[in-house]
Amino acid sequence: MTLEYFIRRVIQFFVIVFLAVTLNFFFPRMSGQDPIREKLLQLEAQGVSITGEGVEEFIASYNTKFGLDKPILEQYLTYLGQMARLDLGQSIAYFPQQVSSLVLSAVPWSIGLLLTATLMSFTIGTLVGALIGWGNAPRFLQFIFPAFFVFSAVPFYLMGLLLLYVFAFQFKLLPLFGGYSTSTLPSPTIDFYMEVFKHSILPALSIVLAQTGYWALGMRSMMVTIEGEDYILQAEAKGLKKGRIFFQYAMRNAILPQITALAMSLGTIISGAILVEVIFAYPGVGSVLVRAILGFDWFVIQGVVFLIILTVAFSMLIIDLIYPLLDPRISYRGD
Amino acid sequence: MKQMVETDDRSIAENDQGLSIATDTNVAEPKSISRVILAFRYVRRNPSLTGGSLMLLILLLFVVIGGLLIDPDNARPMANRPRLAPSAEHLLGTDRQGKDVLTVMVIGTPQTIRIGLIAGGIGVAVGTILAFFSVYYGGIVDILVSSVVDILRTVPGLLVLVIIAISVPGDMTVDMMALIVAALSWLNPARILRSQVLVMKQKPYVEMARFTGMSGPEIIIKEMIPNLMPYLISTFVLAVAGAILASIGLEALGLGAFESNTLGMTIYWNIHYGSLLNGWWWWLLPPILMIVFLFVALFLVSLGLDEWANPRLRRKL
Amino acid sequence: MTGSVLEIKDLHVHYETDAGNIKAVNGVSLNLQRGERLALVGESGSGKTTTALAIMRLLKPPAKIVSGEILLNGRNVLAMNEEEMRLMRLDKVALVTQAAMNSLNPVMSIKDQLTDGLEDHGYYESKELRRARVQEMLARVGLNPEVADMYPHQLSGGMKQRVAMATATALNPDVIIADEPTSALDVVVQRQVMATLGRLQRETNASVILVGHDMGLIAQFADRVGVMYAGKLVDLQPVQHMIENPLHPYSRLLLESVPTLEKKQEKLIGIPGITPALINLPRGCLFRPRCPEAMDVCAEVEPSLTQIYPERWAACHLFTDENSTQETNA
Repeated sequence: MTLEYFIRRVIQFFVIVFLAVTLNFFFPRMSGQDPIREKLLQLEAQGVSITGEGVEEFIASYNTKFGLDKPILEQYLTYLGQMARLDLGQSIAYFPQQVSSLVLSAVPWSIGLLLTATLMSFTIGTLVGALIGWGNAPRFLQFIFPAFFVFSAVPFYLMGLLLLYVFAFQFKLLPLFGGYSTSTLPSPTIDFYMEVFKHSILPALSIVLAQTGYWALGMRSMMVTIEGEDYILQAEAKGLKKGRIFFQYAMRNAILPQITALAMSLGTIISGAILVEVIFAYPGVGSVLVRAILGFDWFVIQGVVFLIILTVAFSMLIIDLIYPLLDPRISYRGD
Repeated sequence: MKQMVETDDRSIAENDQGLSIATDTNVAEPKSISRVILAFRYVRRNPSLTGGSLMLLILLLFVVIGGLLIDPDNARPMANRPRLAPSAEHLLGTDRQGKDVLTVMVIGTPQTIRIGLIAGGIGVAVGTILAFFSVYYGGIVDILVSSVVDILRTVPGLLVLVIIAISVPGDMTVDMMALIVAALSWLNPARILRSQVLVMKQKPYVEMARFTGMSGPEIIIKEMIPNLMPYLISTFVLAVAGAILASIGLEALGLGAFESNTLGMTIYWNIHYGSLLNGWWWWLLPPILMIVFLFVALFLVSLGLDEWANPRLRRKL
Repeated sequence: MTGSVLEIKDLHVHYETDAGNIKAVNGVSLNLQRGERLALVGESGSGKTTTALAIMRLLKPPAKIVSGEILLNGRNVLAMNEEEMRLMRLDKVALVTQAAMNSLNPVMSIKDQLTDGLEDHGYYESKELRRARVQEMLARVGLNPEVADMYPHQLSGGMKQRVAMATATALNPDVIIADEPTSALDVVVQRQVMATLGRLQRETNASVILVGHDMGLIAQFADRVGVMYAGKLVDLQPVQHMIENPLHPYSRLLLESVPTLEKKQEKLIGIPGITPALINLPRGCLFRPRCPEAMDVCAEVEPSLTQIYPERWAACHLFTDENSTQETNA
């Protein structure tokens, strides 16, 4: 792979991260709001009494602690430095807990859910789409396909709500919310893992049902396009077996834009997944975010947003770097 | 292509016709058919567009007729007894706050749609301007604009909107939501329209317009935009759908306009008060179904518009 | 006639579209002898490529072989099932497509594409043997050994065509169909490609059907030339006769349109008119509207391909007024 390709992708990664950091820094401050004051005022409104010395001094001391009284530029540079070290500050609501630890405890749940659900939809969708596009699909697939197609128009979380309603409420088959039932304590036992699994079925299913159609659609149109390509005709003229033509000639070419599409849609997928977590009260990053929003916990909000953007950018980078391994034209062309 | 062959006069005379000389080859000529029949034929051939439009029409009727029949006060908190199951008096029951659910739906649906229309409209307008700007100047400008658009598109938009939303001082309103969502709604239109404009730029009629001395803006307005119409409309529909999606997302996270009754806010309250746990299905289902209905309708319409714009897509599903 | 490697009998191919049936091939019959080089010439839309693809049953809907027989070594190709046909391809009949086409899989290496056809025909070889075979195939067409590990985008047009020819001749097929193999290549490369094709043909004694419209190349390569017009074979002669004394008026006009280096020519000569739309074919000869020698009978009766002189066939009333000879095919 050429150096130029590699460098461009890495630069792109840093640009995205930089934009995220800057966004995180400037927007909230642009509004002139003071997060500490907001939080304290809110606490006060909820009837929590603030320590006696007078709210203003309290606010001031916290501002110093959080560095909010320094000039903007200095704050920005400090912020950049902190971000680089992945020091996301401390939560206001759960002070003095570090934002990073708060988020990190939720990350495994999110990754587990997202990774499995996305991988499943991508694989199933791509295969189904390829079969349908190639014209070789078994009957039943051709029937389900339009349904999936329509599903892909519905956002994940709505799918989730519908599923919740049908399976958890109406038929009481699966749990309503959470990562595990409220009476269980997390422990590395089989029972616990079963709980986790049961609780993750619906959230995962909503993502899968809503996403698969999208991948199938893309793959299908790619396969239809490729079917008309000259090298497919030549492959048939060579008397190759149908299976070989399907996999090595058609799919191997069609999968390339699919993978690009995957990289490009990571952001959307994650946005959707977050909302799914919210719907199902799944203990992932989404729930952390919602709690933080509810509690005006600004640093947590910013921390979550930053981390997620960082993850997306990083995943995109990985996919971009893997891509030349699949498409020999890229390594040499140097994109 | 001049043909200089010495043949007898008959052949030359036939050549001047420039048509297929074997005149007994008759391909059926379209007789003049009434516009209505043509329209019907098209409707049959483009089920997506008709289906989607029909659905939107139904929605419109619901909102308009509903608007005439309901009493908006019923959507105020504590206007009625809360948590009532559906009955003759409250067709969809009441919610936890005592609002009549049907009234909320009638009032809230247009609010949500409004967010979509405003944000979608801004998005397409900005996207169009950017597209022309980028293609007209070309070169480094085009590269820059395209790169920015592409990079921004990969970022999880919802999160960016979250940061913007929490930065907004004061209470959130429906129009405020629209503006926030509009901050990102121009990205997809810009990308889609840019590639369309690029294609159009090469087309002969644009060259011709230039030759006849039309100025840049004149060409854009008189020649390009009319031809861009199908794509503009299709992009607009998609932008509206996307904007509604984004707004519902923000509202579900708790960043919506608390005073309003948008579909997203209803979802939020449902989650917040755990309506499923409490079995208040009549409160949860209507917004969900309404949103699904709306999305499928918009989706079908955009699909139909795509087919209209690009007849080559008209294939079996 | 026995002994022919390939016999096409009254082939009809239609493209079934909403606008009607496009009759792309209208009753083409010809015999190909072992080791013979036959060229099929004609304008675009004359049906030559369709005929060629029909032989290998590579036509896709809406094209449909409506009637006729295609006998390859005596076996009726049109009656075979999918698997039998698949095995015939590459083994008995192979295709070299237009140079302009994208006929190599962009994501597979050359060596893989050279050998996968062999594998699917039952030739499984160890890695060393396979490597040796690839080298042998490349050498056969004059390509460097390094090409084996390259990918299609790294090769020039001429090189890709040679890879195509290496693939096509791997199993020493009886018939090689070359569909405009030198289009889009520059003149020097054209000669190289044609020379390679010729050499391969001689080495394997395969029969070649060369489809094209470059009369110059064809004159140098072919043994016999068949001229197609509007889906019919209208002239079929040994190449020397075709060049010096074409029978059908259309062939004559085609040859006249080739600019020569010999005498000074001020205007380019073309053939007036255009080919007929193939949906509703008129009565009589399809070339009549453009024919400088058209007679009354041409509007009424369609001339069939008849043998005018020994081994020289034409479908034209000019030669078959009263004396009609047998109406079989060459």
